[in-house]
Amino acid sequence: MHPMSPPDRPVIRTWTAPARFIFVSCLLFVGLLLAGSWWAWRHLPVGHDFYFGRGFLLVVPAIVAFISLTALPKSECVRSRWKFSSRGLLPVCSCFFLLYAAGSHVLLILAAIGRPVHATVQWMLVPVGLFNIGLGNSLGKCRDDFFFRIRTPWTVRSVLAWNRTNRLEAWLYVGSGLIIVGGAHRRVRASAGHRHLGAGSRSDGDVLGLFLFAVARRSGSGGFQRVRTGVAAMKDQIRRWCRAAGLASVVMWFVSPAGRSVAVAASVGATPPWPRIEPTYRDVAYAQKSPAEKLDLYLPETRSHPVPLVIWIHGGAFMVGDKRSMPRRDFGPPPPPRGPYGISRV
Amino acid sequence: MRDVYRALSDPTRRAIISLLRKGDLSAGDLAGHFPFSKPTMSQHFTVLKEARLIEGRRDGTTIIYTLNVSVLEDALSHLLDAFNLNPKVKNSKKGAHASNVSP
Repeated sequence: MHPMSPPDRPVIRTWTAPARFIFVSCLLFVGLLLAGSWWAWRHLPVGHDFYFGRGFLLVVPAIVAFISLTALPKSECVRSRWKFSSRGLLPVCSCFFLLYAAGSHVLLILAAIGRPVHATVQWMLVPVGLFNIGLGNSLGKCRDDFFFRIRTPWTVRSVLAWNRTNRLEAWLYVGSGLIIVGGAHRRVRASAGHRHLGAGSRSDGDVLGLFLFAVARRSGSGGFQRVRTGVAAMKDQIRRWCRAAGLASVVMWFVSPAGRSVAVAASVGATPPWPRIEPTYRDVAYAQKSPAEKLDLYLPETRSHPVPLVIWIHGGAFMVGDKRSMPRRDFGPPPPPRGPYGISRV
Repeated sequence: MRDVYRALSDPTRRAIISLLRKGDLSAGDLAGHFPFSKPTMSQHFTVLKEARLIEGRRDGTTIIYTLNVSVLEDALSHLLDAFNLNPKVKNSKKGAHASNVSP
């Protein structure tokens, strides 16, 4: 018997309406993202490779969100010929993802144009934790849900395995949510102590929480019932595992982003407690091979005697990038008027 | 939530839930675990169903019950079991429903 469509339980076909809804909202979402990025383009971090560049940060997540929320559930569903029944879980979750991504995007832009977002960024993982708690809690009530369930050969063929695996999944979701929410407080406290956003933006609580989340996605691995045996079954399993891992990584990609946007927003826009300083000498060429070979020089105001110099070199092994890829434009306190040091940003 | 609490306040009904945790069971199999009469058990099932803690589906002449608990309800049930609490819940609107059907 099929876990998705027991003979006398009405299967609620909610696909068409949410599909249109998700599609339109995703389009709107991508459009807004792109508009925001266009408006703030010149303020955004350049980055010295694609991954951390502004193009990747702002465009690719939107596209991936769009594809995974519109096409992915449908294609999986069609391929396995299941009756899709979301019972409202997927639309709600999509709304959350969209709002969350839009929120972090706005934060990123605000940070890039120099608004103080320090306090807000600290709490960015809390909604993720709450989302995990809510989702995990309601999973047991939505046994027909397709999208968030662990689909392995043995769970889809046995109602018992399906229900038990997903009850475990529900508990793990809630656990990971609790840990993330609990960790947020620690993170904020740690960061308040350091006065430095990067230092506190990662805590073991998050890591553990996200790990639990990953375990939740994969907790079907125990396997309650094997249906097929031999090489064919193994191939079949590996294929399905790859698919499940792909889906899990997409979901992780949404949830952990959080970590990533925190890190990015932190590096771009941590508003330091000191005023922004301008270099004493800007764009001083230190070599002639490339237009990128320029440095900024920050010197103490009183320059009557020699002072030590801090040379801060951008990443890239002098092969890629330039000083603009240095994550924080407002680094460190300005050199005190009477020394004791100057800074050179290369 | 009041329905849920009332349903979980009875040790028999919590025992039904813990039996269903291991897998789906038919009404007859479930009743076989308890020394109560069929109507009494049926009352318990009704209370659990109204609280949406279990779901029944008909398979021929028997009814097969499936657990339908959220994590919160599961945790509450575990908690009440662990401390063997049997709180008395006031029946609000439906009169003396079924919280005192067990002998």
